[in-house]
Amino acid sequence: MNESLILGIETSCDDTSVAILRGEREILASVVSSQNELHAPFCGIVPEIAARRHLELILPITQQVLSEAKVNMDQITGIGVTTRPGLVPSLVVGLSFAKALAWSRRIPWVGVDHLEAHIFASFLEGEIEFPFLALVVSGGHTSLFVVKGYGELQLLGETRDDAAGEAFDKVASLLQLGYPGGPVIDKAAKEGDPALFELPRPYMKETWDFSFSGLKTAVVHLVKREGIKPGSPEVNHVAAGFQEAVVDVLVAKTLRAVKELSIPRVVVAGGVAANSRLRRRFEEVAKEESLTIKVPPLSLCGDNGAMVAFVARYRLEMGERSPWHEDVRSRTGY
Amino acid sequence: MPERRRLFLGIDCSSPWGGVALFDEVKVVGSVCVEGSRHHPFQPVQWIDELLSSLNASPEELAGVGVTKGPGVFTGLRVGLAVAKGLAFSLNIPLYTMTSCEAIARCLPIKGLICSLLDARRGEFYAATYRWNKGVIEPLTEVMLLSKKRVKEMEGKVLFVGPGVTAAEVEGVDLPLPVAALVARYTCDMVKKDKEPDDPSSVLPSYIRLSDAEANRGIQVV
Repeated sequence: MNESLILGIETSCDDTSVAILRGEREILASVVSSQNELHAPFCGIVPEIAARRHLELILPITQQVLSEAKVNMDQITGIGVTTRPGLVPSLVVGLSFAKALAWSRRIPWVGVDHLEAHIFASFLEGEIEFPFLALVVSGGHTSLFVVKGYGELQLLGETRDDAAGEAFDKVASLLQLGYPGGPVIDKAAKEGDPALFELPRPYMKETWDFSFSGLKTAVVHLVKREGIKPGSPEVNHVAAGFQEAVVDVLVAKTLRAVKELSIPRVVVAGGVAANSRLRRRFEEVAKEESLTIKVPPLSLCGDNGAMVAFVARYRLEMGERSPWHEDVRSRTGY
Repeated sequence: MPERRRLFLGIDCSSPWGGVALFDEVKVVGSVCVEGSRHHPFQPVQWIDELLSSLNASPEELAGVGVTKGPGVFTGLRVGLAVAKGLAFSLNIPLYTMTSCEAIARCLPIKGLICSLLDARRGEFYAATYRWNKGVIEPLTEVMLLSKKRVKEMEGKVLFVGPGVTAAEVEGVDLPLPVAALVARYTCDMVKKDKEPDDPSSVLPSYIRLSDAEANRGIQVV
């Protein structure tokens, strides 16, 4: 009966997600409600629409998760909620709701960093030896970390402009493939030849930072120059070429960090870690270079409450507590 | 063992002045009223915690929660509603909501026509007109989104009240009003009269306005 039962709440972007974690890694229930269809007409996330939907869903999803886990609020031993980084109007909904639950039931709670949660999502499948490198790639983030222990993250580099997932969205929109860009480009690329059109690789060798806006602009010029029409077979070649360029950069930079810092363990996390080409390339690299490369299962790549609960559990165990005046932040604390 | 107190909580995060208040079936036993800003966002849970601590009260003594549901600053409305939903669900207590316009008008039990005014920015205002009739407040209009010109045209016919008065440049009352206290008392009344509460899992803010993205594109998501 002493096992922890942590409620994890995540509303940092456009997915409303709540989960209950028993002990270290048993997910009793997890619900993720995607808002993709709401944002599709705008080809990108509209923060105000996202926040409105979070407020609609936060309580029904919490009730659903408690009921699926056959748990009542009395049994919850801790609450974790994403407080940074993310869209402020969205974050505020989850945080306000979480505080009300925690306060009214005197449940210990802690604000969680979304990037830390993504990185430790892999731990829900089993522990990984420290230190390791973590590449977080999603619609809002492209960051490379050295992870030295639980909650000990050192940021090596991050994107200076578009996040990788954001570039996927913009290119998908240009090619009229739909929204969100990740899955539709992944699919189109399977029918295309990545070497047919030449696209730049922004390796940025002098830094650990990333930049994808130049690549995106190169795709715009390519489409104009070649007169590529939406729906034509060339679209698949462009998608394949673009995806390959992004994957090349992500893999090369991660490998450079492995070698320069002599850390042969890598965690790949975030929504873009669901990309089939990226997963395949990291698998190949792991074999070729004898590395341990961990990519979470698809269900844990996107935003989810379970990863937030995981981080909350060890932070609460370390004695950390958030104050009632805790606020949200658009940027990571790392 | 003494009988447990029954406390009724009011929350208002809809206007530049936010607050929480507690009503104990007879009187307002405590309230917090704070001017929000970009750097000091509303923290209703912190205020509730401080208020109950100062009264040596526990969350279990809350017998009902009320909240203003808008119109107002979008993020503020969501903060208030998210907290109220969380408390109502977690403590299993009834939740009542009221438009911010009605809550403002209820602060002024006087003869004549009262028009609540909130600044909606971009030269527009949320407004609704009320009248007291034998101690009961009656809405005479829906909550509307009006241009400054339309508001000006009503000058002299109604008493303007609320945080939009200064921005609309009309004669009226623009003071920090005890909205949260009003909502707390209203909640107590509703509970005592056994009125049907709102469903915490489905009640939503009265935004009145669409998001900019929807308005600009002429699309409304459902």
